[in-house]
Amino acid sequence: MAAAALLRRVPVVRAPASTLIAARAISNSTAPLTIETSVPFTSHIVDPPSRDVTTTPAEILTFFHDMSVMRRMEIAADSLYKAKLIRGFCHLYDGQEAVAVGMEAAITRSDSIITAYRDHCIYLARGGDLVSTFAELMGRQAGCSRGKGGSMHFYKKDANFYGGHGIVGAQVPLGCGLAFAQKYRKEESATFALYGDGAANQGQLFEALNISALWKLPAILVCENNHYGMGTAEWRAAKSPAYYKRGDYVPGLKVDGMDVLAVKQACKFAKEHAIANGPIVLEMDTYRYHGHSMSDPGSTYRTRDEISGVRQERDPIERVRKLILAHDLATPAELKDMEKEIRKEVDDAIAKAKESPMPDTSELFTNVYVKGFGVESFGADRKELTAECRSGRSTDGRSAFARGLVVSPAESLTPPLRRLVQAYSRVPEWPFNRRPIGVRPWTRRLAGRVADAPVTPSRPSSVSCLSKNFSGGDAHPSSSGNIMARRTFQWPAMPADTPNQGWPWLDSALTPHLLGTTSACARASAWGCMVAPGRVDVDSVLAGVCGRASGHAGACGRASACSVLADSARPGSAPSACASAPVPSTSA
Amino acid sequence: MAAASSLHVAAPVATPRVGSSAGNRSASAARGVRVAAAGSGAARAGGRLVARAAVAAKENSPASAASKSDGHEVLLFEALREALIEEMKVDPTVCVFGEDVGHYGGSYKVTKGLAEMFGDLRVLDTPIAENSFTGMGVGAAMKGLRPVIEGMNMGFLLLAYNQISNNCGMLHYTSGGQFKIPVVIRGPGGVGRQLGAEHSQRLESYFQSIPGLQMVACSTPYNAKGLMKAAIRSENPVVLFEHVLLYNLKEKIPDEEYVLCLEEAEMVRPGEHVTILTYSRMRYHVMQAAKTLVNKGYDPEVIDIRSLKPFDLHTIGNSIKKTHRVLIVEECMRTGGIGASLRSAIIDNFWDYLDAPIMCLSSQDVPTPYAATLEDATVVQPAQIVAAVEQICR
Repeated sequence: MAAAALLRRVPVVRAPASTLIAARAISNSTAPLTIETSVPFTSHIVDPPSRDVTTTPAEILTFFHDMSVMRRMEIAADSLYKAKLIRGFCHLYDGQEAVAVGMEAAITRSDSIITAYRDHCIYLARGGDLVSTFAELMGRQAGCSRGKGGSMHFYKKDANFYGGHGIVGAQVPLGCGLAFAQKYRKEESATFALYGDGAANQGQLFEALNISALWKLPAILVCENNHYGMGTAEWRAAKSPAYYKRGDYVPGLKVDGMDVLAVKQACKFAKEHAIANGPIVLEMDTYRYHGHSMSDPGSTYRTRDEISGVRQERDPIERVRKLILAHDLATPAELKDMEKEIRKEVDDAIAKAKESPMPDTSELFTNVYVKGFGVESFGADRKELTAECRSGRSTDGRSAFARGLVVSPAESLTPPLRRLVQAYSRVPEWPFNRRPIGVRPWTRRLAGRVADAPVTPSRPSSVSCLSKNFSGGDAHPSSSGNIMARRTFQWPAMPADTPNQGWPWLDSALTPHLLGTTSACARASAWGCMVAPGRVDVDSVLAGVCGRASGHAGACGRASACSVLADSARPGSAPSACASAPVPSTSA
Repeated sequence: MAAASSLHVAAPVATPRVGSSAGNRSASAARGVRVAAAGSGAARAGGRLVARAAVAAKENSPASAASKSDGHEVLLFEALREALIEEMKVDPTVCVFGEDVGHYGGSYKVTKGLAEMFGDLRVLDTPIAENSFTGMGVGAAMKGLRPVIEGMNMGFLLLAYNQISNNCGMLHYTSGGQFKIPVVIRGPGGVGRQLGAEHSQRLESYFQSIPGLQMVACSTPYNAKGLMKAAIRSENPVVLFEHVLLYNLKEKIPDEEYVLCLEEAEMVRPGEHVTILTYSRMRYHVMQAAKTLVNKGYDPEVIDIRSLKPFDLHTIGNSIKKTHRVLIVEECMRTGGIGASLRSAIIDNFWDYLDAPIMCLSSQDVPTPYAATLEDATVVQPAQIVAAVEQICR
């Protein structure tokens, strides 16, 4: 048979850890084999490629294996979803495997692929493994996006797989941007931007196509036409359902998306065309057996006969199976064994993924920003936002001071809880550890009662330091050697005799924010309890002896924290300044 | 100090001529009376504000800063251009996307000459397709480039809001840290000279809740150049808000290379009585009001917050602890604007330091009218600022 003058991808055995290893040696012959595609290609302003596809037996068996893995994985995901281990949206790709596998066969890992949310199988095709797939679907740490993306956000940077996007249509301009970067860097590679027949009506596709054609970017827009945009059939959504022609001035090719060899041929053709001439549109005529997602039964807008009809006549895996058997590349029993192995592999992967833990709560705030050159970014008030969820509630470093760690009134501070709270108490960090500059009149007169103490905060060693402190008045440290802006204003030096009446509790290891509840006044702020160093012990503080005051005088008509503080030297006595307020019992 | 290089145009924007460098030289240097550097507590003897003969000169008014280096005078758009040129020379992955940025030279001349210098592949004229070229910029950033995306007017970026919010802001997070999106999205916004409602939008409020995005607003040539460089170098997506009326501000900036911190606020005028937080064009309205206030005996502390997300609560907090009164003056909308968020952040963190309710002066919640008088009434004017300070300091 005439071998088409096309680049042939020789299947290589990939890393053993990957599931998509070369088929076992049923027939691993690499002798060329030419097979005709089921239907010819239809084209728009370009000459279509030949119907004869050159392949090898080993490659065909790889196709069978890979597609079976994908099919099995999606069915397993279906069960997991019904078992409520996968939540939210889960869009399954079964029926469309040929597109993923055929595309991967035609290209290399330096080409980029980007798609929308029906991305599980493309992630596998790009070299992803089953464990990370299931872990991500279940929201575990071992997932490819660390559990933070979910079904719709699979990415694999080292394999140039760019996701995984929830808003359909938006990935196509991204894909054209990837193609732009490839051209900018003079890489001889192309980008495949996949979208569905529903998203094909998005305006930004045409905008991006226009720009790509103008700038001759190696962008290939691939419409996976499964004929239904969620529940809307294509004839109801698109005036012109010939998606391959909608590029107008951009060439297009229509491909039988259930025929893996046709997909491979078309993608190879498209890649060469795109690198040489600019964008091209491919339309893959394919079908999905499941509904749009797991919440869609898939039968309200199409008949079951239609689904089973396609499954009988056009199923991609069955097609390859027939091909294998026709060319005697393996026996039916061997194929069955292969499927059994795959099933087991998938089950093992699910079990392993279930062992992976949920992400730590501190992961909530990681990866929101990147730490970069000299201009590191923080949350508000210059603190890195991290979460500590120790007692079952999440607090970040800042809110602990704003709201106080709220323990419900019903809970009593039993010794174990008290120890727990104490263990995680932390000395307030900025801005509350700064010596106050301005002194307010009502605190001034109480100043004398408070023992002066060094300002240096002591930290319990059990608490990790979560943020950096910037001391006021200092220049921002320059990490790069460039001239960074310096503060223009230096605070005047504090008079030496000013007592530390701002935060005397700094000197103890107590946290000020335990007291919100036990205080009668709900306004007790985080720093409401000012504890004189050495005068009040932990237990009485935790019991809320002086848990009432807020720093704001007059908030509850009672004295400020300082006055309470002064009298708490005698635990058990009601502070005279707050005689009107009920004092919680001091029993520890 | 470096950040306070002498501004040759003082609070010009209340009058039509922003750019006339000859006419409006500030007399700030002339009045050299310094603010009496009082001790921290003494300003408020007996809890009452004591008016002092403070002058609207900057505390550490530089005869200093700019004179020690040669410096060179630039207009604000030239400063932005200098920053772009410097960064593009150093890093070949920096490219510029925008409408009419290349051959036309940029609608505000920020990118003038760049296309000749760097070629068509680095300074790219896009068609009018904000949604897609912003998306393309994000895609290019995912693959390692550092695009600077210009919206000809900030209001046009609303068309790209999906890309900015969902892709630009979120991809670093949803990919578990695999991709970083070091884009800079910049463009002029704000109320101009009778440009009409759709061309006078302030999008700070729209973008501020997008997680993963950083926002800065420049107001002087010095900080424009520094922030632009910092934004390009930052690994995070940064939105740089410029203002249509500030492009012709002239200032002397250092010759040597400098980069400013994206999260830092700028102390414009230290004071004792009230902290006025502002950004972008309103800084000039505030400084004009400050002159009046000083004549009346008040000593306002003016801080240009510069960093809109995240807020520099460190500088702001130190100031509040000193003055105990806060006025926020912004051009953003009243509802859900930067001032609203800032107020909330201040209350969360510094409640106990406040002696008066935080006042926030912002634009009215109306589409900006065309008529000049109505347009002036939409934004905050210096007289309102003076009245607000008097009310706060009562």
